Amino acid sequence: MLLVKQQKFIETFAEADIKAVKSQCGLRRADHFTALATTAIKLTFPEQFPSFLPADTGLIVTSSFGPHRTVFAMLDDILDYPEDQMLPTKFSHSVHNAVASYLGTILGLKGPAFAISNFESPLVEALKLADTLLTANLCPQLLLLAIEEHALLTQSLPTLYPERYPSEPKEAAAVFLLESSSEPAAVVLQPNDSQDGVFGLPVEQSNALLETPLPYTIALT
Amino acid sequence: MSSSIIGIGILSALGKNLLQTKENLFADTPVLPHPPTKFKTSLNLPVFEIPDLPTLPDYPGSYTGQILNIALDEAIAQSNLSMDDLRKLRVGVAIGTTVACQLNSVPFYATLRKGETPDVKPLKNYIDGNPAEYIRHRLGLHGPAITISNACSSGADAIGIGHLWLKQNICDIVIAGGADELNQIPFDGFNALGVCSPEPCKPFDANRKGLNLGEAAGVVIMTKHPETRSPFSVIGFGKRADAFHITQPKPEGEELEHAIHQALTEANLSPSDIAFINAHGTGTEANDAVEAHVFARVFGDSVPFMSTKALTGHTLGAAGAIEAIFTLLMLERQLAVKSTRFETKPDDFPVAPLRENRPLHDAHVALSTSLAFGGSNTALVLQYQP
Repeated sequence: MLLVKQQKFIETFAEADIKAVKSQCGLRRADHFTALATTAIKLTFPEQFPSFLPADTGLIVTSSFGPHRTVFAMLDDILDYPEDQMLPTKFSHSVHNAVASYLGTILGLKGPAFAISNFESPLVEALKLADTLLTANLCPQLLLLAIEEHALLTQSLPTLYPERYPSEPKEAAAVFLLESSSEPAAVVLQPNDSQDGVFGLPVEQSNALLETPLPYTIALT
Repeated sequence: MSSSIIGIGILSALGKNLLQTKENLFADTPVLPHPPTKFKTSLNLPVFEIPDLPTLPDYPGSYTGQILNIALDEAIAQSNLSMDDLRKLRVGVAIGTTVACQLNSVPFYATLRKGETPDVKPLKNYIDGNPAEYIRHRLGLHGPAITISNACSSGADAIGIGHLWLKQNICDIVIAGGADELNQIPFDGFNALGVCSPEPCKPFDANRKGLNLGEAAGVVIMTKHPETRSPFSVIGFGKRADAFHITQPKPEGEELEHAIHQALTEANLSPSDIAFINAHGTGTEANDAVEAHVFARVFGDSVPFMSTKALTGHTLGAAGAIEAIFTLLMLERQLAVKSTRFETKPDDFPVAPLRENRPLHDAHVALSTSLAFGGSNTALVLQYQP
């Protein structure tokens, strides 16, 4: 069972918040995806950010499409410039776990860190992984970030793959601070064919996460 | 608790199956890298390609998916599990990759960015071919399925997570491993970072000039209660992060050391119990220095180590998986292979890798380490009990 100690769902990122975080954390060269992720953490823990978690805390970042804006920016370089002129920062930011390494460095997290890339039930699979790592005592608590950014790829999905993406996945983030718990579950998450809620959850389960007062426990089936 | 490995499938520059891999892993004449043949490039950098395996058009997950599923099929065949067994049991899938997590089709993007409608096959292959999810659907499985994108430790991480799933009774069977094809994006990207060697790589050597990229797939099928006893198992997993830099490892390597101790503690072993270490050993300045110093601190100079990346190149998301398999094969053969092309110990290294193959005597356990972009450190303790 997972105990949710803190959580936040963010569907709109103010430019002022992103700019403030970039300045505070020295993210001038970081890409949009990294800036969004860091902003999401700051908005969840505004008073304590960035030094509010013990070093042994684990970290999971789950994102279906990852830093796709940066991946396409790399492809721009390949299409528009000689092959040996790709910018190294673009490549390093395009790696799916780049944001996990940025967050780990900014927050000082040395516990197990994972980036996962699922299209089906990305949040539930990440929560299951969190449960596995906590149960194994690899970390006493774990910070989990689910995140998607908006850019050309996600914008194009309803046109190019409407049977799977009738609407564009939203630019959004969900942050959870988790521990293990043996208390009875307040919320039960079970994937089914409906994935219309946040990050691949069925709507009613997504609403349960949003509406249950903190702290609360989650069971995963 | 150990996780028995009941099936192994593997493809790399060493061969297209387990038998070819065994022959070439222990061969006297190493496989050599050559300029890429699978994509056009102006960069003169050698790579390790899987020999004689043409790309099937439109395979879900592209060439990465193709080689992953070849390895999977080999592992399933070896495990003697039927498709019916797999559907009835709780089967988890954990696959590591880097290339398959990105939609990096240049022709697709070239059309899209012009505002035109591209051929949608690359997009559908990318989404529908998500490695872990594709396997789950293809085999009709019931259990967790995660695609791990932890860069160069992904394959080892997948095996580690699979081991934990079994230990925690989340699964009856786990399919775990990693796969990555040679692709122009990481090829150009690693070149841009200045870490590619223009000649065959020499991990740990004083004159090393960087890494060679490679491509591979490695899959293991694990269970807690094998019907037929298997000599191979995973008995320890450690995982820590440096919290230091987006690409470089922390030079002091204390979190790699911590991960090694985590794995040894779980396995109830001390450093002196380890027969050898199959290092990450990419051939870059930074990685090899960290590992050499950490190995010296933890193991002294009594535990031999090597890098097998001189034989396969750096296969990114597949590396940790295929190197775990190589470690088991060395234990089975009772022979620790030398670190190919190592000649000269750097002056500041306290220890050096094997210069010659070393016979093992009644050795049962070894360590495999994997380090990744962003300071990810993974250690697996692997066991062979005939």
